[in-house]
Amino acid sequence: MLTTLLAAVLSVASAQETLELGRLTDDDISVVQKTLYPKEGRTEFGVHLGVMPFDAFLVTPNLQVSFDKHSSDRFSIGALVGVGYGLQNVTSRTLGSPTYGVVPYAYRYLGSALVGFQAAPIYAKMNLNGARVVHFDVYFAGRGGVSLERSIVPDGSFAVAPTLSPGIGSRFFLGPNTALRVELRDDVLLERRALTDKWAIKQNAGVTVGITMFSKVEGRP
Amino acid sequence: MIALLSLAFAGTFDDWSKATTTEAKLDALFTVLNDEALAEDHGMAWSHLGEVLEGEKLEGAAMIAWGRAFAAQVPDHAVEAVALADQVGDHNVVAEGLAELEKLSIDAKDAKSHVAYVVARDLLRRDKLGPTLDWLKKVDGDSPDFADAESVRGIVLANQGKNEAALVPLQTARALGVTLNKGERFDTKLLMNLARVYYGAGNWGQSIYHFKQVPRDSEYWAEAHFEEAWAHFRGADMAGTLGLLHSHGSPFMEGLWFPEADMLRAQSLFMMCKFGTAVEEMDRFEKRYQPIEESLDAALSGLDAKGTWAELEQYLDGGSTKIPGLLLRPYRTQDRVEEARAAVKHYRTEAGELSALGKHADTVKGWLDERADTLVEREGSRVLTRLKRDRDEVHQMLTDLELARIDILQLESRLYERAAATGVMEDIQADRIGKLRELRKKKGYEVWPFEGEYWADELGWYQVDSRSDCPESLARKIGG
Repeated sequence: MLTTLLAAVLSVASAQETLELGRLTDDDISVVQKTLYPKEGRTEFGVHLGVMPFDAFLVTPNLQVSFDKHSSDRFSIGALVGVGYGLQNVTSRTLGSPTYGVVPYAYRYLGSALVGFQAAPIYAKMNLNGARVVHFDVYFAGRGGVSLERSIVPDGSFAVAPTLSPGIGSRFFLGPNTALRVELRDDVLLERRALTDKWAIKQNAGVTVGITMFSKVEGRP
Repeated sequence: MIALLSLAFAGTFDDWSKATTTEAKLDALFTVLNDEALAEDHGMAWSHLGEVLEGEKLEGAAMIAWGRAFAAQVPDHAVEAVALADQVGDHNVVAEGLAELEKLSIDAKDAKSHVAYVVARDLLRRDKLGPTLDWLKKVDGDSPDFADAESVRGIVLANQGKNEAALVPLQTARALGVTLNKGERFDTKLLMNLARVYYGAGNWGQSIYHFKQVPRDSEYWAEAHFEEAWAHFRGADMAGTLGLLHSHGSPFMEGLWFPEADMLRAQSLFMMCKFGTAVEEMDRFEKRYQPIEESLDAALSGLDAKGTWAELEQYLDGGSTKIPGLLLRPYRTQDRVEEARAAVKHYRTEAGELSALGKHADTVKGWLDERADTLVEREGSRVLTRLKRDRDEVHQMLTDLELARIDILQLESRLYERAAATGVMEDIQADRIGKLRELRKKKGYEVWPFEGEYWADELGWYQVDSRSDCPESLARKIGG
């Protein structure tokens, strides 16, 4: 039985190898395409609008300004500065209404300044219904810095919190020098809270969408 | 007798100069032209006739009259005639006569250069290479036409087989084109010509370099890509040839006429002993081109130059044609066709606007109709000749396929004998990954594996990395 099986496997393998002989297969062909949207050596400046919708008590619209220097098509270092204002959501307002009279001890985002890196191992393209090919990359970001927050309870105490911010994002190239950048990031803050006099960990997870501009490359439009 | 004739003309000339109406002027001039005894004065009469017709804004008729004056060695109005020809799109009507002139009496350098360039270009179109070079010498180095003139000089020299000599004027033209901001189309044409001249000179590397610079969005790109493949083939780079021709096998190129590309691909596969794929390629060729050859043959039977022109016009206007559209497609962007269409339209329109000429309207209408018919005949005939050549070439290719199949059959059996003796030991998958890794090292490039799917933006970026399957003895046989 084993001998029969082995013979069958060998004959299949042999047939496959024979097929390669005298033939040009798809495996012999590669697409080596000049990078349409090179990033290496370019500076990227962007303005982004964002929202932090996942907090239990606050919804925070924000504006971020980014600056990145790409040392290669795959890696960059940069800075991200943002401002925003956490608005009380329905839960928060309900709790604060005369019915409950409770103001949750939440901190609202006011601003942040982060520096870090981006690694973009994925470069891909998609076909939009046969009408257009859109090139995009996917990057992972690791940043660190500080965030400024303020308590929503009447004491109004501020917190300047060390922040770690992992993120994942994508650039959809709109033209040789512009891209639409979408990013999901999660700021992890270590906050000293005045009322309770305790250290607390807080997450500001948010989504931003922005337009970025690249510095021009010599010899390209 | 001579004195009598001169007197007669002087009298008629007086009539002409004193005449106040167009019809009266024409009466006087036609009297001279219709009198064979005054043949010596016909040139001047044609020249004056041109003046009258131009005064009536009858550009086509004026050009015809002046063209006849030039042929009779009356050089007046050469600049005006060429300016009208630029406007109407028919240079030949004046250039043929100008080419006969012994001397151009034009003082302004630029105007003289332009006339000389127009005459030279027309001579080139009529395959008169020697006279073309003579007229190009009259183009001044500082004139705006010098870049075009140098381009024409390069083409003439290349046509004379002097490829090395052709490079200098072509390079000069290209440099001037940039300085004078003559646009991308001019530059691309020169790139194509330079690449072809290098090819003719057997300098495959430079030929490839220049073909590669043709922009992807240019109307010449597919042609450049195909001809670049030929340069690789001649340089014995079969993998390079196949990589380039892979684009021509894509669905995006189905509307283009490149039967030679398919044959070249089959030939390259053959040279690499990829007999299986070569046979498939041949089958595909036969399946695709047999019906085209048949329909082309049917369309061309009984078709004359006029009919061909009508077919071409119908195609260009978006109508359906008996001639397969992919053969007419190249004429969409051909300057000659565009100019001829504009000129024919102009002549036909002008033929309906001759009321100011009174009783002479019919005569002038006859000239205009005849000129339009000549253009139709000339261009139609040129297109028809080319179509017949295309048909014959495809026919020959289809015939050759049968012979190639027999060759392949014999060579393939030897290939398998070799394989049976040596085995195929390579780890194909490992080889593939290794190849991709190597390619990815290329800076500024993205590498994608080809999985049988064609993307429009990937055209022209294919690379084939495959070893020849020829055993040594077979390679010697194939290599000749």
